[in-house]
Amino acid sequence: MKFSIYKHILLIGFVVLITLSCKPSYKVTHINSSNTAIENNLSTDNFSEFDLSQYKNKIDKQMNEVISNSKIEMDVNSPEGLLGNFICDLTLFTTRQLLKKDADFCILNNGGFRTSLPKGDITVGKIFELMPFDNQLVILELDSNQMIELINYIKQKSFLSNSRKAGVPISGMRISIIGADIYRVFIGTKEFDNSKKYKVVTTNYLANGGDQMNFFKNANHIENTNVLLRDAIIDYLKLLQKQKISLDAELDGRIEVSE
Amino acid sequence: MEELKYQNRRSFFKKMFYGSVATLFLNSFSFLPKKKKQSTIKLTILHTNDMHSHIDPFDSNDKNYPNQGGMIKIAELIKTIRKQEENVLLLDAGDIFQGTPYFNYFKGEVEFKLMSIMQYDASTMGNHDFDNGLKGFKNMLPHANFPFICSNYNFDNTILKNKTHKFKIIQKGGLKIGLLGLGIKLEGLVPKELYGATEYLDPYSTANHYADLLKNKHKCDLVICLSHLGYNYNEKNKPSDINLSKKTSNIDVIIGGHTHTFLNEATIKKNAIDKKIVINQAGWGALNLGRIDFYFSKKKSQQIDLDAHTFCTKNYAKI
Repeated sequence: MKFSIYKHILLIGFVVLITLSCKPSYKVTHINSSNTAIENNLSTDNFSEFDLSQYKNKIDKQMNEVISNSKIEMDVNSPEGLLGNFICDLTLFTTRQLLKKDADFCILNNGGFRTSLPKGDITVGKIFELMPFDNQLVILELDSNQMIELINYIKQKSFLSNSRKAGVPISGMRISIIGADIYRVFIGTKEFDNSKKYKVVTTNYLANGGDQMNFFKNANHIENTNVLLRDAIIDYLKLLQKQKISLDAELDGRIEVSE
Repeated sequence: MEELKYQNRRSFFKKMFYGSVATLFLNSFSFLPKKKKQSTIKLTILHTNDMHSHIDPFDSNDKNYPNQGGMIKIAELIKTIRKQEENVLLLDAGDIFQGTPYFNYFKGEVEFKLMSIMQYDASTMGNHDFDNGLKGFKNMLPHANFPFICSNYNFDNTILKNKTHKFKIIQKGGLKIGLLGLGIKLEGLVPKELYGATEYLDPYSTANHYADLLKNKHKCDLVICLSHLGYNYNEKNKPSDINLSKKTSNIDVIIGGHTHTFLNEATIKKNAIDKKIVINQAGWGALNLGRIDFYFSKKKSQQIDLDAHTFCTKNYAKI
């Protein structure tokens, strides 16, 4: 009798096992892949599920305000680019002339500029696109070791190309690089003096070592101006507009690289 | 009495046995028509990354992408695809935040609300999703009806504790799909005050741990890794999707981001045990929609093998 019960238990166990092993699992037979570019011909009209207007109306009025007109298109480049030069120049101007702070030079990063500035009308929205981050202008003091690290950082990035992250935008500074050597460095009108400390204006993001700017990590942080870089750009463009000045720029060889 | 007891028990077991056989038999009949339909399953994975708050298309005067891209356009395209495909899995690989005034003004509310309406199944966090700090991200979470999967960020000592998932299993069309999520190293990329006490865990060992769990313990039919590591770097040893693919044996698909890489179609690589692994990325700025269609057949095997001779690289016409 007992045997028979065990037999049945075994049988049931077997059935359960078969049932479990029949639990479907799937095997990939083949795959297709194709990524779709989101182009002009795709409509935006039919997606009525989301009411964007409540948000859009609020910001459009401010964003569509034209605050400048440019004679040329400006973009980042390496070793120097129109866009980087322009923004570093206006940052140094803002720091010195508008904020009345002491700064010897300015350094920013090309990776932080998220778009180019077009020829023609420039809107507030375009500047938000260019500088979406709420980065603030800060002033630091660098000793000679930190300065030399900074100069080497510029050298290294100046040899990169074909990337939005190549090149380092600067103002108030000129560098000649020949081959692997730094040939000459000027801060303002004077040759770099490694017995001196220099004040630099940059963003809090970079000052904290962003974009591998490690030379800032142990530098003397003098002050945070609490001015957003984006606001500095917008205010500067409005200032020019008031004086009816259109944007124009050319490269001035502030970073020269030769083999 | 004893005899009777045994007999009763015997008949009980007998009934049980025949009952279960009958159930099986009936089941196989009742499932017959269904089974035919389900013997092959098509899974359509649609994915985005680095949308960077691009709700609207790019400006008409944009140098590179005039009038192109935008989440609204992608939403419309996905709506069309959902009408054609039964099993759509919609994923994002991070950097939803930062890039247009929508983010500066509304802090991510528009992005999350729109993605919820688009029916995203899951996302992971990119470095820019920390741009308003952990608090800024947490404040936006009520607007998202989809989960965030972060396997290698330990938020236990932060306000994001229990707000994200280490892994997730999604059922789709009878398939069991396992998801894990990898983030990039935050130090040097995101200011410390924004990510606070977030602990960064090694992406490879973390990924392998959860992929093993999903594939071998939970018996997932497909294991997908959402990754914000980046596709590939000149620095050979920097964690990337390409490097991850060589170090894993249980991940089937890597949906990537961070490097803003545009690919015409998914890349196929060999994983650590020489099996095929699929890697894809869809540019940035909602300029591209990644798509991978998987065709499954019912097999008594947990082993997923993407056979080279059946792999189809055909390009669909651009929509």
